[in-house]
Amino acid sequence: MNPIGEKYLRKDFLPFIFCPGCGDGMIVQALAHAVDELGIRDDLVLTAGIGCSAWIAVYTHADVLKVLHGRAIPAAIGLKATKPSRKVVTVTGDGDCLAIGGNHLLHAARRNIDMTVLMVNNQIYAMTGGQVAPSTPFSAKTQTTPYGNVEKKLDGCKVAIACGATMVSRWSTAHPKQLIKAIKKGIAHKGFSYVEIVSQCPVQTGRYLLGSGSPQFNLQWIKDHCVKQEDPSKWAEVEAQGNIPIGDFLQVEQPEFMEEVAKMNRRVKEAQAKGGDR
Amino acid sequence: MLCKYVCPCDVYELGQERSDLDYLMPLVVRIENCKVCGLCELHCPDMALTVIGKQKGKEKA
Repeated sequence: MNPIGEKYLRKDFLPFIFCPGCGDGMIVQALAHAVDELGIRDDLVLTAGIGCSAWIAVYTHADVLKVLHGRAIPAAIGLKATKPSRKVVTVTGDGDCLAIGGNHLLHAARRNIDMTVLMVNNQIYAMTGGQVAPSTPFSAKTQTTPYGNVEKKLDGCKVAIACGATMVSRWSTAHPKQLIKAIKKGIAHKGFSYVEIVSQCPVQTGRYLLGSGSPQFNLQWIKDHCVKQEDPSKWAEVEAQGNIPIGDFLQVEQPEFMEEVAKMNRRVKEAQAKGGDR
Repeated sequence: MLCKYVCPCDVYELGQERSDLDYLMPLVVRIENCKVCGLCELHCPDMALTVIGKQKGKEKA
């Protein structure tokens, strides 16, 4: 096994339950590289919900809290609130984050909580057999949309930007070096960082949406359809051609939630010490 | 076999030996072509590959 695997994998859980060629295994490696290069293993805590992507956190040999479907973000907020020095990373999927967990994403981004969300987007609910997800393209045929999906696709990066996330990136498993850099940047960023990872799912997305269960075909599809475009005003042109814009879209510094709460507490205590109440 | 697929130097071929999970494993057949780019290592979903480059010659582990 490679040295990063020796250092960062939970060996008693091996081998991976992932399907052959699944992108999740590549994301485990990317996360391990990022954590190793940052040197934050002792401060790191991962939260994960339910789905194939949640197992990325389980295989990583760090403190991990695996919770109910869609509730990884509130668990992460609790971990951050109890010990703000922690580096909190939530590993979630497109169903876990954009469907059942959508509201948590909205408010965590709005509050600019210092945490990192790694959202693995395989465009389907894979673990349960290939049902339509919020990220499934329009007219795609899945287990639950055998006549074609009639819903519009939800773009997690657009949601994160609209809700006030201060760092937003999207890369894919076909761009591992850029992905490692983006994960490092997200963890180091002070505020809410959202890193979306377009990942291949040969067994569900490959067979239902793309017409092939070959991992090489699926990875090539991702390489061909992920186009670097970091200006959100030009995304419509990329999407009109059936492609997915990738890149580092946004990074700004804004007041972080835990720091604002601490400031408010100090202000109130000082006022109370002077005989006032605020 | 994503390593064979991503390798720009055609180092790998499909081998005959099977892993513990009964999948055919890749075989390094053209090590002299390897440029130590590490793409095979980064693209392996099972973290089964390590690329080690040395100053004189290259060694594959």
